[in-house]
Amino acid sequence: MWLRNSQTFLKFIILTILVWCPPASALAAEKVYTFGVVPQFDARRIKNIWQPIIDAVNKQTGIKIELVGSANIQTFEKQFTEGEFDFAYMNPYHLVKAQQAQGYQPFLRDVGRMLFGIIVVRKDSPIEQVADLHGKTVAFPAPNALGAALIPRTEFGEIYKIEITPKYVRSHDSVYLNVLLGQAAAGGGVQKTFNTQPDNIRNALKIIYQTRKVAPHPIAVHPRVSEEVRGKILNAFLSLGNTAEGKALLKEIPMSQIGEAFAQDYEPLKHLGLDKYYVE
Amino acid sequence: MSIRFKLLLPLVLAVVSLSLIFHLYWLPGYVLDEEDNIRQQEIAYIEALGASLVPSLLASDLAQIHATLDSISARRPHWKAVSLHNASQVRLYPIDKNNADAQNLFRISHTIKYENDALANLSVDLDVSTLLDAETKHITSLEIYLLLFSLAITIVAALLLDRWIRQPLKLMVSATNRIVDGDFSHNIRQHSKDEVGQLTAAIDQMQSQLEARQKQTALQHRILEVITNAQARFIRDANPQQLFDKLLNDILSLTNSEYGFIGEILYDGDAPYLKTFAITNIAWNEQTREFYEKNAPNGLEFRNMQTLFGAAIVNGENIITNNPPKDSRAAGIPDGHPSLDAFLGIPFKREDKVIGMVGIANRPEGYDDTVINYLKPIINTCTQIVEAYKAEQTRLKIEMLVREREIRMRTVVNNVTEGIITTNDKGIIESFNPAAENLFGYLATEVISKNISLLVPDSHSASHDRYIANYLRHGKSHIVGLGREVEGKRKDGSVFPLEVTVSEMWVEGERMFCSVMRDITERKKLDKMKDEFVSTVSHELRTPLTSIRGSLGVLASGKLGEFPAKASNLLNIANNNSERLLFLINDLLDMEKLASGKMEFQYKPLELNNFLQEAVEANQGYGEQYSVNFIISKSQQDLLIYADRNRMMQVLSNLLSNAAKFSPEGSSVEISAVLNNDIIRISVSDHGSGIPEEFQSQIFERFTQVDGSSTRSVGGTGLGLNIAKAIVEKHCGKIGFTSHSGGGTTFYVDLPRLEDTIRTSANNTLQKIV
Repeated sequence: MWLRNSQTFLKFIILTILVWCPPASALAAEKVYTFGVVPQFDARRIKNIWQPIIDAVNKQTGIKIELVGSANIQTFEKQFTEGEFDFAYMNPYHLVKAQQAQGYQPFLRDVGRMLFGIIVVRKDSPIEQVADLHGKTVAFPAPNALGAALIPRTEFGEIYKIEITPKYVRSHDSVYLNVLLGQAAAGGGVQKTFNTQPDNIRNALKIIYQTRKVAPHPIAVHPRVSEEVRGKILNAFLSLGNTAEGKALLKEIPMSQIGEAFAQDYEPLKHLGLDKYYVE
Repeated sequence: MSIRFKLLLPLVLAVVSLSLIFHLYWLPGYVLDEEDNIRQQEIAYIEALGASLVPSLLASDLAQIHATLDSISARRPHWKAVSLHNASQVRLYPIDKNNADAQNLFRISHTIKYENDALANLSVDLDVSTLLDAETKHITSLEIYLLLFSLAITIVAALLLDRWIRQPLKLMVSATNRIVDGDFSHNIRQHSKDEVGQLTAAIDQMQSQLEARQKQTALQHRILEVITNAQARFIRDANPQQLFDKLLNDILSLTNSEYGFIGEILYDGDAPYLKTFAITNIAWNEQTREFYEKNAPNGLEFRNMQTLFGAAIVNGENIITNNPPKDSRAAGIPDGHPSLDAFLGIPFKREDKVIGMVGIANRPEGYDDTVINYLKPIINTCTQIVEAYKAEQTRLKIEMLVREREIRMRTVVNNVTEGIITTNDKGIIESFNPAAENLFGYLATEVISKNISLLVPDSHSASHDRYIANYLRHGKSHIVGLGREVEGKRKDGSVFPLEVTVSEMWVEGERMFCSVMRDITERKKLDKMKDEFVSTVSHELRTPLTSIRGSLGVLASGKLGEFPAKASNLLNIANNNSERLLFLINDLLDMEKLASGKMEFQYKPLELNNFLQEAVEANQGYGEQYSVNFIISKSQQDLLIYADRNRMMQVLSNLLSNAAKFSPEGSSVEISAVLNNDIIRISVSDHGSGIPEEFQSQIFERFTQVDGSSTRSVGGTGLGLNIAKAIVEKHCGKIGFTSHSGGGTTFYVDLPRLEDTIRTSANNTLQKIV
């Protein structure tokens, strides 16, 4: 009799647990994955670009992904260093760092282009080449912005052996404005951001230098994310790239041709000597 | 200007004024204040903005700065130009230089500092007017809304005023105009519960009162018309029945009564009865109809006072009864008589005496004090008419009596044997009776309107006129009021003696004189014969009587020796009687002299006070004889008469002796002399038994004594007063008496005061001139 009653009691407990405690798969389905984006632009712009994409992916996969912002690049770097993001869109150097810190792996990138930095000056500037920048103030978004700052600074020091006074002005837009408004002799950016500048800014500047090209910003995934989820997200992004609407969304990142990324795509970065110029 | 306009105009003016004040005064001030506020706000904002740009400035994050300034500029359209310059005046924003026209713009320039170091200068050119425009537009919109609202309120007010004030006013104007035209048939009726409603209600009330007053005035006019007509008829018509018939009809018409009567109240002894002047013909059968037609014109008489009208007559009060069958005062009505449903009886009273009444019946709504009140003027008129009618009747009766008396008088006058002549105060003859015609030989027509001096002998004519003039002027009568013997002149010129009594009369305000005269020729002859006879006889008697008396006196004196008692007594008797005979003869002789005019008078000024004293002393013996005290009770000093002392003494002695004779023993006789209007009255008053009335008219006649019996207790010849009268008249005086049987007698002699008299020697007659 006691045994019968205890069995009943146990069933009740199990039932209660099951009611109150969802199964792992349900728990797994309810998990919200964080998605970080390098703050190349201001938060609003970043949200405008990435939220539709995230929503599309969410819709397609049923996986809840939450866009997480970063106040600045330093914060972003700190966040991925501490593994706050499940997914993150970062610059290639960040990936290297992220790989080292948390084991982030790239799994998606724009396979139609390569990332490189550019140095811009006013069109009416007498500066024609990198060597002319010696001793000048050069504006960069942030010290560790890969294409816009890190690679050019590395090359200034390693290849051209010039010394410049860097002025970190927080964003690519700010770089161009500083150059345009004479607050810096030159500025470092990337083609992508340069191209998105208003005509009156873009037309008032000229590019005097392009850096070496590397694979562009990947979307990396933390190793804690399950293969299943990674796969779903990968497929979702790739599917987006196959639709006109998806393409339009991805183009804003910008990723004009999204494809799968691999770790070896970013191996060359480890040998550029960027560490020396990376500001922790 | 309509009332609507007048009521709305202030509202409109207020709105317009407020709008103008708002727009021209308040709004510019507000705008200036707002401008200032906006500037201050913008300055504050810009300062805050500058502070917010510090981190970006420090970080040289021009993108953020541009984004911020772009965003703010986009949200602030009144910021026409924004620029940011760094501490080195290098423009950081905008990219391209501002080309905005700085005119009409307000520039705010703010230095952005960080730790007291200027980082940058933020300059904003504001177009405040843009902001103000919005504000002004907002206010203007508000103004417009307010104006529209005011307009709406004005329209609503106009509608409400129209409904609450103008329409009622129109109704009131219409009602007032109708009232002016005399139409009181429509009331305003709708009365709101406010002052306008009170006014409309007041107009309705006024209309009702005016209607009532108009009816009242119409009634008063009708009453006045009735009264005027009644008075005119009274003046015009001699027939009272027609007048009262019409008056009764008017009263019935005024009061809406069915039938009635007007009548006078007459008295049969103490019992009043009603005699109708007019009565409605309510005959209900052949008998009553005949009765009415026969008797109504002369007035029906109703003597039963146990009736409603009887109650009014007896009590002298109005009688109202609206239920006669149940009224205890009603006597009931004969069978067939029209029903009596209501009755009003109003007596006509003059000094609490009921002289007439009106009775009316069957006013449909009955009678009350209101009817009595408005009938009052008519009742007063009826009373006056009845009174006037009665007076007229009385006057006619009196006229008839007077006429009869006049006829009688005329018959008497025409048939008396005495001549009666009336003259006016100028001596013009107005009437001349047949006896006068006979006396003077004139026909009346020959002497009427001629002066009476025609009938006076020429020798007396002037004095006659003077007598009249004196009397008229001073009231001093020579012959007026006195019976006098004068001479008249006949038509043939012959003169004859007349006894004339002239009396004064007033006829219709004019003084006239009436002379009654008789021819005393025969009498004079007889008197003369008698006087002569008396004189002769007296003289023949006096002479031997004097001798007899003398002899008796000697014998009685005892000078010839004493006689026996009986003889002495007989001697005394003989002496006294002979003395008495002597007095009689003297009196007779005096009488004769007076009658013949042969008595001579010695007129001299005589002081009365002393004279009276002497008279009293002279007659003291008489007083003692009768135990009577003579007292001079009143005598003024310096009263002078022009008189014969001895003759006047004779007069006074006669009066005093008479007074003593007829006074009770122990009483007194008062003598007085009083001046009154130039006439001195000497009075002798006794307290005797008075002169019996039957002798009063003869007291001054000859041989008249109160006690005329043969055993009279007082002596006297009976000639004393006659002689006294003659003497007084010779002195132009008057003698008379006042006497009451049992109450004493006062004989008086009126004589003219001395300065008013002179004597003419021709006739030895006193004439009075002034």
